[in-house]
Amino acid sequence: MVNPWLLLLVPLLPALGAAINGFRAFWWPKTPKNRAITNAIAIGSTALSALLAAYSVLSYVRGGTEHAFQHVYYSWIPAGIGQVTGGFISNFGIDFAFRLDPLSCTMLLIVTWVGCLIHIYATGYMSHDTGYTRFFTYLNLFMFMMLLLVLGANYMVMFVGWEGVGLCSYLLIGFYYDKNFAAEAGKKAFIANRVGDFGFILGIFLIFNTFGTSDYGRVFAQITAHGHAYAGVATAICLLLFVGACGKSAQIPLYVWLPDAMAGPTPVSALIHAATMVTAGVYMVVRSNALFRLSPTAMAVVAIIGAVTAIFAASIGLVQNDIKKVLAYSTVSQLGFMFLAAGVGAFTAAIFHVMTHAFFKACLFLGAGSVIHGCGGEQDMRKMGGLREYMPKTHATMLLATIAISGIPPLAGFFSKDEILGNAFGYSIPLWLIAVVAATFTAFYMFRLYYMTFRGKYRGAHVEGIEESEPKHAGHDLIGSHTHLDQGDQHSDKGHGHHDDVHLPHESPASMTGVLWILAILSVIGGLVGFPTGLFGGAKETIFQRWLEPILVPIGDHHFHFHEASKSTEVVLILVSIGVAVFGIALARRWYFSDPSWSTPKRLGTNFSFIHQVLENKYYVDEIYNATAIGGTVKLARALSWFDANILDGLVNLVRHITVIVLGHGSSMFDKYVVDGAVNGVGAGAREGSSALRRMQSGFVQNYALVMGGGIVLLAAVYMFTKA
Amino acid sequence: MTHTFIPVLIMLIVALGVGVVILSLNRVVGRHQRNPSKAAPYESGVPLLDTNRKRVNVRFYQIAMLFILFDIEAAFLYPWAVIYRDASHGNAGMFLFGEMLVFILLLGVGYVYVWKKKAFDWK
Amino acid sequence: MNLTPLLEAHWINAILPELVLCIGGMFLILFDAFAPKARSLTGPIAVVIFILCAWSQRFVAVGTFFGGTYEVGGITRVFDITFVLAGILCTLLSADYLEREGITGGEFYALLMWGTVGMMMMAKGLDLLIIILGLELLSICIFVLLGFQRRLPVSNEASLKYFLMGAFATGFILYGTALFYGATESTNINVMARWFANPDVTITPLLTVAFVLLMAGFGFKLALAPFHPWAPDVYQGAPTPVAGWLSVAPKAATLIALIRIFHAMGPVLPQTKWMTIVAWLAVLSMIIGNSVAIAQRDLKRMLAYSGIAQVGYMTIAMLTINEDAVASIAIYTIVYALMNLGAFGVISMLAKNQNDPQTLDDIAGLGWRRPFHALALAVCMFSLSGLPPTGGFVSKFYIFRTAVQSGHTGIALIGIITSIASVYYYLRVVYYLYMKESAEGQTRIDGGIFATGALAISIIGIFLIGIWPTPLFHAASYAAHLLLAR
Repeated sequence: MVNPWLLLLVPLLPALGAAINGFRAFWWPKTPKNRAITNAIAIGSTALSALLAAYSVLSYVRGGTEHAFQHVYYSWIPAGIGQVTGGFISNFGIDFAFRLDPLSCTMLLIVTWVGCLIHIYATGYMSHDTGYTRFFTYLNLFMFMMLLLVLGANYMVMFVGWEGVGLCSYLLIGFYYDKNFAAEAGKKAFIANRVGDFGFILGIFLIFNTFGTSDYGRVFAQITAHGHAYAGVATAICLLLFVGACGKSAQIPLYVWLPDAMAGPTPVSALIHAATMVTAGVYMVVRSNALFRLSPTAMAVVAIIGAVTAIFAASIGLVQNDIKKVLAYSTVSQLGFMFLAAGVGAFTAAIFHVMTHAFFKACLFLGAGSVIHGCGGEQDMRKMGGLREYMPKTHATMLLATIAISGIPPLAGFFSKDEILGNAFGYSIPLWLIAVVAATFTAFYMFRLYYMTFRGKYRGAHVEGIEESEPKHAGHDLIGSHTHLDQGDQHSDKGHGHHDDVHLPHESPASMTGVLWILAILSVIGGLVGFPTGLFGGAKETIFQRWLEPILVPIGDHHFHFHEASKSTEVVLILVSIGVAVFGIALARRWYFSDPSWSTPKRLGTNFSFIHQVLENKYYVDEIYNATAIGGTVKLARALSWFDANILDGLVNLVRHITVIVLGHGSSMFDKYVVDGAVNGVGAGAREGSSALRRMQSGFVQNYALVMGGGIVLLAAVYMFTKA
Repeated sequence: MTHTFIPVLIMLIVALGVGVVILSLNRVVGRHQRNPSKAAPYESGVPLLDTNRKRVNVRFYQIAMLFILFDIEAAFLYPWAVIYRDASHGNAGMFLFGEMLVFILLLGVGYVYVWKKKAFDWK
Repeated sequence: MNLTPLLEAHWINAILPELVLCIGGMFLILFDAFAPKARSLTGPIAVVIFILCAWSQRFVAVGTFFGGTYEVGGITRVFDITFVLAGILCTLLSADYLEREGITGGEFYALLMWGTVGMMMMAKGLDLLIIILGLELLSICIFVLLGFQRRLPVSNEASLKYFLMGAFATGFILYGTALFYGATESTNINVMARWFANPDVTITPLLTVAFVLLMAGFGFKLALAPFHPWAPDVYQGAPTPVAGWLSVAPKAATLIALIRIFHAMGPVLPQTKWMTIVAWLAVLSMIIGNSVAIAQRDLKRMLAYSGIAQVGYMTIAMLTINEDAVASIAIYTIVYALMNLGAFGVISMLAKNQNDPQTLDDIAGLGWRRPFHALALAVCMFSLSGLPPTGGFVSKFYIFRTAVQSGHTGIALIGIITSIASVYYYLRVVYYLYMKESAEGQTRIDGGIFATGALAISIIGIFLIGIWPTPLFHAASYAAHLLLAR
């Protein structure tokens, strides 16, 4: 049996760590803090939480995975008066409850263990940073929120975690807040996420309204019982939920924040913006699979958005020169693959890809971090090259992860991507084609990254003819910056610091490379749980599919069936996916390795300059958004404010003038001298002393009185012209 | 339903009308002559010795307000005294007595307060 | 002449909290008058008196008193606690604020207490006249409190504006009451309820006019759009702790009074469009409050517009009076008191010329200068914007859930949309706190032990209600049930 209190400790320990470190970081912002204590608290709490998570999962598995384990800790928002008086509203409350089932177990292990590894890595990576303790506070807080999201037994607890991880992401993207673009990127992430959250919370409300509860178990039980009675409303619910998923998991049209989120420290990019938080949307869709399966329309929308995002982001990734940007677009693209999987009904494949992606993408990001760290904060791949000799461990691990993401068997990425492609083929050939092209792109840009970074000759920080690649967004010299306001953490340069003069790249400390090795090994073997045993005469379903099967609840009498294809089709599909991967790799090798001057891509860039420009500028989506949605909102707020300031008062004045004319001068004199005199006498001095904002409202009392009078007229009008 | 509003409308019109009529009658019927005595503050009173825009010491107002405040006490005591004898035949005697006691106590607190705050001092 | 029916048994227990505050206020002004040198003690004494008042709730007798004009019950206790909480927080904040501004005085706290008595009367009044009496007692105290910084022009301006407008609004309420009296032949809410419950009752235009006038008057007190324009000016000019208190406590009192009135009208509401009017007020408030707040840089004005929007949310729940509606409003007001007074509290600590506006620039980089105060402001902003796991989330969720259950889905939707938009300006404050460097000549934060204590109460309360709201929900639901069970 699972011990619910030990399970509760899993999220609580990181929260405790965040509280202690947060207290230390913020209470004495200027005093130096002992990093060993920070490390002990941050890593100790996450490591213990990871161990407890593993223990809880083991005890859950031992008890059989047929039924979910659920424990209600307390009634968070009671069911209104119904509970008190035994009255009319039943089970409308919200419990603070955790749920363990194969899905949450999978996510739980990914989050705690990958999170723990990244914590360890960050001790090395952030060692030069002044906001050390603050950083680990945020990171621990993130772990807490993410664990709430994953463990929650109903949509509301998930929503708490959902908002919480968004907040931590916002804080961590803006970690280098003294860099203006970091704060801006944080804001952008926040706005995009709010749009998504809006859909999510509406979806939850609709679930509440339809099922009378937000508890997963009860919602799914009702779907199992009443089946397709909910089909109509399910489409609306699913589309709303999917809007939320788009925001959190960076899908079109809300993906724009993720590439900018790379302004945060690299361990954050690895943990939050690659391995865990951004997959929350996928988790939510898979969690709600019963609802989505009720609505083929919603499924189709998910699949199409996923596929389009996959190829869209991958195409942008082809031409980026910032190492983190390439990985960011790669993440968006891979998330698109996951949604494609969910949309075509391969929910297990989606989660499988979440898992393998967590391994190899975390490894890639951390490797990129190691590269950036070693190159003194350089992020432009054109200024790297030949790093294989300087950083052999980073090179080896990153190569493994790159092969894994490109889809070469038997590494992890191959199995998950192949399963997705196979399912997509069974669903719709055009989507499959899009996915195959995106997979080709993936192999190409990943190996382009590899060759540009690790092979050839080291080009150094000063390459002629290259401007600052993206002065607004690049993270140059972020790490070496000592200008943070909180100078509290002692600066301990361990001999691999960042000096102003040009120096040769160097390997990162063991705390970083050790983590890289673990993740690299996981990227190699992690995919074996999804080994297509059916091809070799074994069980039809993979180990991973069988593991996740309990979460795919039956709808009415319809049990979930995994996609099946004939053996020959499957073999052909596998060969195709290996083929395109090899093709992408070969092309990258030919263009970026065999020809050190990169003449082909340069020629293509000039010959097809329009396409190149469009890709390099990310299809101008940022510009379009700025011009329309964001600019529009700002204009609207200004317009309303102006309306409040001018029109409303103008109307009031107009009414007053008319009144004055009608009533003659007698009352006007009264108005002018008695009321105005009294009010302006005191008001005049005040207005002089304060800002122009006071003009927002004219400040004349009688105007307000007239607004009130106008309000009453309005109420009367409402009364006359509306229907009861 | 709307027709039931007609009385309200009529009332509004009449009220507006009366105001407008009176003000305009004044203008139409009355003769407008400007002479110095018209502009005087007291048209048919004693001629002014000084300007009426003089500053008056704020203490005047303070004392005047305090006077009104405690004057109320008497204004309440009279009606109370009138009914007290009748009422005290019933069982409300103590109640009424207590009420007035509380009232006077409250005023007493206020009195002590303004006293100690030196509001009566004419510096 | 027999007057004894006016005095039910235990009548003194019924008004014990009011008595404690009345006598406490008198004690304070006398203390101030007799011992002017010990003036700085008046703040702590006031806190003790407020705590005494809360403690006296234990002995309160439940029932109807004073000839059916005064009703004490579970819900009035819940609201009493809100008022006392707001009073304590305001006192704690003021203790340091007044000291810094050099205007300490026992009168300040006395007025706060008497104002609280007025609110308690509004909450307990079972007669429109008692409600108006309470309202006037409250208003008079507010006039003086707003102008307490009498050497500052802005403070005087605020006071005079509120006075003129408040008198105007009271006129509406009185006129509406008179019209209701004309129709129902009583100002007693229970009698009115019986009159409205009569199936033959016809809704004359006169009644509608009465309702509109009443809503205009109470709408003013609540700062509901379009009766809101006074709020930003008054909050900006008022002594900051008073502004915080004014934005919270009188609104709660007005809401509970309105709940009683709406409940009495319950039977006729389906055949009128009165609630449509209220719905429009709510929608207008949410839209105007949230959108204009985005354009504000002055913190107090921003909070004023945010308050307009927050009242809009609460008004949604009033559209259908049932147990959940009453309970959700009760909980919302408590949470609102904690978070809004907390926010105003931090602003009150900005040590600068109070005649100048307190803008976002004043709090830039505060997270590094005064971590605790910045944290308090951030928590209050999170709560105001309704992010979990704060009390603001729980209470807002409860409000919207109630509205959806009662079938006001469209309006709840507008509420959700606008509240999501509102996150922008609330979080902008957090952005300034932690992600902006403080400008040259940064504004000092001057918070003493009392004010810091008030902030601690706010933070703890917000998180307690956010994470463990269960007891409060049960208490409020049960109280609401008793109120409506009649």
